[in-house]
Amino acid sequence: MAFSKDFVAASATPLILSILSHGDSYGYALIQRVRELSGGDMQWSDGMLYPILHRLEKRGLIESYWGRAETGRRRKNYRLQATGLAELNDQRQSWNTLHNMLQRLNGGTAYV
Amino acid sequence: MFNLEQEIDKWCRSAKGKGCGQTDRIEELQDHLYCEIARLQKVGGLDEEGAFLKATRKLGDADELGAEYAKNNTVLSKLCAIEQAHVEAPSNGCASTKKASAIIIIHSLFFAAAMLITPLLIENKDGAGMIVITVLIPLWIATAAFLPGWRRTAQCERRFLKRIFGGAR
Repeated sequence: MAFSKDFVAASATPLILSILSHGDSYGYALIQRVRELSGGDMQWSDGMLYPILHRLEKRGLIESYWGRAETGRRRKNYRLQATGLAELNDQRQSWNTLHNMLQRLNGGTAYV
Repeated sequence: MFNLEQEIDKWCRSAKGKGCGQTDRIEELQDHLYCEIARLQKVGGLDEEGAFLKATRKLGDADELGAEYAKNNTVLSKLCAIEQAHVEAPSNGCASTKKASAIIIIHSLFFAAAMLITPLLIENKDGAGMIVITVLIPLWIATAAFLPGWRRTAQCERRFLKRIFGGAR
């Protein structure tokens, strides 16, 4: 299944926030996690993630801090903020509403 | 002989001059490259050179990346980015030496001062305005064309303005 560019862009924020709600992470690991969760169907353009992360940080939804990788290299990690968690809940609500609408239109059972 | 560290450094220097400017951004991208190269070598069985080429291709074009980062900038930081470009751009063909920059700044200040002083020295305000418009401004532009590094500075500014404001659609 191929996701459109617009769909990938729209889903990036809730996915990043959701992954970070399970624990701190860094750019490369986030990309790998999304690939793994989608079974390889959703492929983020690697470089595009970083400006999005910086945008989320600027909005105060996440915060970054520097740590060290196993190799000793400096690594920038990201942590979800309280405002990010609130944003994630809002986004979940919106996506669930959309999902339910589509389910109803297709005659299926709505997800609660 | 392919040297991975040198090639990554070279890529980072190039990205730095293309709007991905800040050191922490570059360090983050560098970490990404090392992670992806390691994965491609382990899973894909590629050699260092092949993995590097594939990883940099996947990371995307540095110009596009710079434009994406620019979307996050405020007007003030966009203006700072233009100035930063002069300092950080030598690897990108926008070499603007300190001496050339200083000459351009002094030249601009000289003409700005002349334009401000003219109305104070000439009692006839209309006459002063005419001198500024017909003499000082054309003279400023004409002499600027002979300054060392002026053309490269203008090209560099145009390229960065295009990337920064063009990318902020």
